[in-house]
Amino acid sequence: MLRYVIRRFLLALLTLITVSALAFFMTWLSGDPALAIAGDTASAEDIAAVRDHYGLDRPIVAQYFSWAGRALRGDFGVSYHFDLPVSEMLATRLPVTMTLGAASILFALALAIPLGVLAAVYNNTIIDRAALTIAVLGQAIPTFWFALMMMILFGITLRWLPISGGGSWAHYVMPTIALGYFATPVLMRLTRAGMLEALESDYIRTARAYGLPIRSILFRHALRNALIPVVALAAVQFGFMLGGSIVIETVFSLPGIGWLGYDAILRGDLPVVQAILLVVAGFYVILTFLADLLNAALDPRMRSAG
Amino acid sequence: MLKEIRLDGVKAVLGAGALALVTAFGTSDAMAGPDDDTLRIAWGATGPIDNLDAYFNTNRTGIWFARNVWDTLVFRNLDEGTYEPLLATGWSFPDDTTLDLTLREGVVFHNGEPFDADDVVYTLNFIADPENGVLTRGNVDWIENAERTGPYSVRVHMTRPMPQIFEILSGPIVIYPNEYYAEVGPEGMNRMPVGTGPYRVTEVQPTQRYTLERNPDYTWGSPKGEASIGTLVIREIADVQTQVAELLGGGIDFTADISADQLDQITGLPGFSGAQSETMRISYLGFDAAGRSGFEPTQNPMVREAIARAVNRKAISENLVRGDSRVVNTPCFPTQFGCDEDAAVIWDFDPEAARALLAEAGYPDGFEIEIYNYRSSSWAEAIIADLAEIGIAANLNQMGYFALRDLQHEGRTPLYLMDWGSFSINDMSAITSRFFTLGPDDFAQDEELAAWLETGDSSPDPATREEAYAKAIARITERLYWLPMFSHVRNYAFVEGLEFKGFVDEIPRFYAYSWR
Amino acid sequence: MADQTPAVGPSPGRIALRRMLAHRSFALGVSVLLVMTLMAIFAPLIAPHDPYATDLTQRLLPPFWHDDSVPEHILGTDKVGRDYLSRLIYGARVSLAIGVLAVLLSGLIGTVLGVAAGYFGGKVDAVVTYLIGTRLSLPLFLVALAVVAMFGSSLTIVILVLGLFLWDQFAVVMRSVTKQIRSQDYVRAARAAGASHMRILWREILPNVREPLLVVATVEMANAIILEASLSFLGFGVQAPLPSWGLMLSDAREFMFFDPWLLTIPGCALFALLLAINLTGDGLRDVTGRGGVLR
Repeated sequence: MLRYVIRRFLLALLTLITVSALAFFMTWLSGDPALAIAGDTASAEDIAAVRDHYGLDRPIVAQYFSWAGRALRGDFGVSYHFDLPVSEMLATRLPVTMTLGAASILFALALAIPLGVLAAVYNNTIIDRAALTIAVLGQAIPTFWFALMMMILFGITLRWLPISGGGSWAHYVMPTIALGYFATPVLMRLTRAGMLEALESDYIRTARAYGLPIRSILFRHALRNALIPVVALAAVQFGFMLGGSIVIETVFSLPGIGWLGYDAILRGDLPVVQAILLVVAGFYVILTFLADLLNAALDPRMRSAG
Repeated sequence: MLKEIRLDGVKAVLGAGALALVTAFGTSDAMAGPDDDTLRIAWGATGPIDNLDAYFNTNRTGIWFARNVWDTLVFRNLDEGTYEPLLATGWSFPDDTTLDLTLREGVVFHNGEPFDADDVVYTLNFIADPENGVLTRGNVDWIENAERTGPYSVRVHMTRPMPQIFEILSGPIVIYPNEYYAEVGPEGMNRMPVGTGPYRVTEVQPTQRYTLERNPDYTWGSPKGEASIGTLVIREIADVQTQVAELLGGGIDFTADISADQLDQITGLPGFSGAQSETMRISYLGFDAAGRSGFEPTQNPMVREAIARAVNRKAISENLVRGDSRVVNTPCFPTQFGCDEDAAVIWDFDPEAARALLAEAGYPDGFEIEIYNYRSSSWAEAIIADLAEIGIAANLNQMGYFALRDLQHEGRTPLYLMDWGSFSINDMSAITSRFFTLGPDDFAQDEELAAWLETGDSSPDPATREEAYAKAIARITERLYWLPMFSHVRNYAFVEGLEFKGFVDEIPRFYAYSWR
Repeated sequence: MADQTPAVGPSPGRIALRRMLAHRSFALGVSVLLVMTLMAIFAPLIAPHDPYATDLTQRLLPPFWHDDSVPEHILGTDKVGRDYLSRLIYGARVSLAIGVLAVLLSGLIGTVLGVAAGYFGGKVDAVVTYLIGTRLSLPLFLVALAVVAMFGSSLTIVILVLGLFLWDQFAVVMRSVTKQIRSQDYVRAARAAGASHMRILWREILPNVREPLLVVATVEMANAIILEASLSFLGFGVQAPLPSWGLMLSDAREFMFFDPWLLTIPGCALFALLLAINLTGDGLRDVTGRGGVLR
């Protein structure tokens, strides 16, 4: 087990280093940052001064190492456009996206697990098919379209929910549903498959034969086994959501890192884009690492499959 | 009842149209407004204010913010076209490059600091120093330095004669409290702006939200007048559609970013009003005449003329910009000083002639060109369709303003639809000289033209200025460095009950608004 | 888990075909997909107007179910007076082209990596696992936005970006399927008989990964189409005036509170296409009994 953990940890570390290099060099390609910083009325001397000030004339590899070194200490530089430390901007935005991601994944699980269990228990009945239909429909509706439709209905026509911003819990309701429902089908399918497998296992059959109450079989035994991969996948999905909430945050003007990233890309604000790429990737790497450990700890067979 | 509303919602979602929405609006009143004496404002379509310090921001909403929070030395009376005392009560010019100011007594900054000569001297010297990196150098580089000549008098030494000085003193140059600014600098001013203006800032969430409250000490007889509405809550909402949704949903009371189409639709609903006014902002189709991008066809004057004749400016202005928008033939807004409409060469819409010109220029089958745009793609799409008529295949490159600006500075845009609002400065130097004096945005690189503009910008004699500017206008329109397109309109929508006042310079003065 | 269809009685292809036709949602998905494809191919013949022809005096005309609609424009016109129906028909081209081409590219990358990892194992597997992990940890949408912002947005760039990014599921599935097949008796037998790796890969492995490959391809095709629509929606996808459903939705936002049909028409088209692709994929999964649980 320890060997697996160490190997998996090294892989995570290597991935993170690769991503940081990609984030740095990719955004670097996007043109001369000195022009972006120098602004509207810059003269050639202004631009040269900016280049000098930000160390933009040093070799690119040297710039990467000094950037990565500072990033390790949580210093992502200063935004070209807002004169604020990037870490400070991230600190105010990250909780918003984290809240949204967590709420969305909980919403998705709350929908997916009951539906998946129902679909498995009533396998090949109308209930099963209904659940699958929900899944298929869910995958076919683009998130932003769904979000706009909700905005019209709940925000304007009914005036039940606030439309934009992130002031209170109510502001998160529509974004959570919009983001969460898209993750539901995958989780539901996995729950259903896991439940079907568990219900057909010898262990459960034996329990049934012994006359254990069906509810106890379902919830204490079958579901527990089926849920392990679901939880692991949910953790991974949460990682996806941190990077995938851009459209939702933009539509609802939710001040999270997705919106910040979109805005920074529009403005060519490199330090912000780099920092967001790195932070989001970092979260994903950590979450998949933990999910793999969880799977491995609970299911020894998986250790060899890592 | 509830069922009815729900049905309405579903109908709206299914596309039954505006009618369902209107019925739904009837059921709940706009909750905003006079009850809590708070005006909730949304702005930010061109992005949030980079920096609330007015000297480190180029975003238009930053100017709106500044007008309400700070005061200038001179007040421009838009109705009369005159300059009146504000923080300065008197002024005189001992010579072309010296300005003496007498300052008002009894004015207090929001933090309690009294206003006097030290504040003016500190502010002017700070912004004049290139080391401090004020963003729009053209607004401040005429200041050599300022010195205190008494507790309420200041002498300003200028680097050159500045004919449009009152436009600058009544516009971008706002006065900061010297003690506070010396202590916190631009960074602190961004976090908590302090001025003398009719509103004081009480809360700042950078790039998201600002709360302003009526300045109770604004009783010294400012020509701006005391504010009427108690609290302004300003939210940066980048997405115009979200702004509209918030307005319709009762989340905000005021927006100024909407299109003319939306204005019509919103004012058609009960509980909302709107207003529209032409602005100083003009759109122009810019050509890479100097060949900075290496693209051949736009270097040919005949091709530029063909394009100018192919684009139906009137149709775009009337049908897409709408309202008070009109075709503009000058590379400046006609009310601006020096902007002589008679000096411009006018290019009428004539696709037949355009086709002939294109053939004559050696492109009988047209060519492919990249066109750059950052504002509403409708305008660019209409231009592209017009160009397709004469055989020019224009590929749209729609991008953010900042990305496009950087591309321009690199000289990579052969054809671009851009616009400029002159910072609401009613003088041609704020636009034409900005773009044709061999700077990074200059795709003409015409030295003779730059020299004329130089003369126009710095000559103390109005007649000399007008003459030089007229030559510049003739050159730009005749050689078609720009095809001036049309003026913009600003569309305001707000809840009923707000006493709105429009200003031609596109700057909402919230202190002049009140509840009916 | 790897259940080989036993080759007794009618040929496996026949059985599969019969099962497919009996599968109602699969049949529905395939028919819709077929109609959309025909619509895309024959767009110039079907479309009543030039999708690029503007008429600024005929803007925002409502569709046929409104009283003040115009028979000339059945689905009305858009913000610069272009025929909405014609743009909708041509839009199928853009969505399908993006879906098909992006999936071809990503499928190629993913299959090569996945099959190599599953077949050779060891170091190759380790490298591919690392590549998959790295790819997954890059936030796709953010990176796509950044790349498009950098290189400008065009149909080609969008297809390339999506194609170069959506290969991860192909690789994951191909890797595990290949692993299973490799341990089958007949593969071992072939290797014992001295067959070269290339021959085994070509003759034994590839034919057996076809079905899960198709299933993944449908999922990723739907994915690519949604991503294009989302990118275009944010203004980072294909460029106007190209008729793309995502772009039509993006343009429609300005009018969504008052002329909601501008939003609902392309929205429904997109929904129908995605639904058809997903039904087809689900049907394939059911019919072939392959593919397992996929993301």
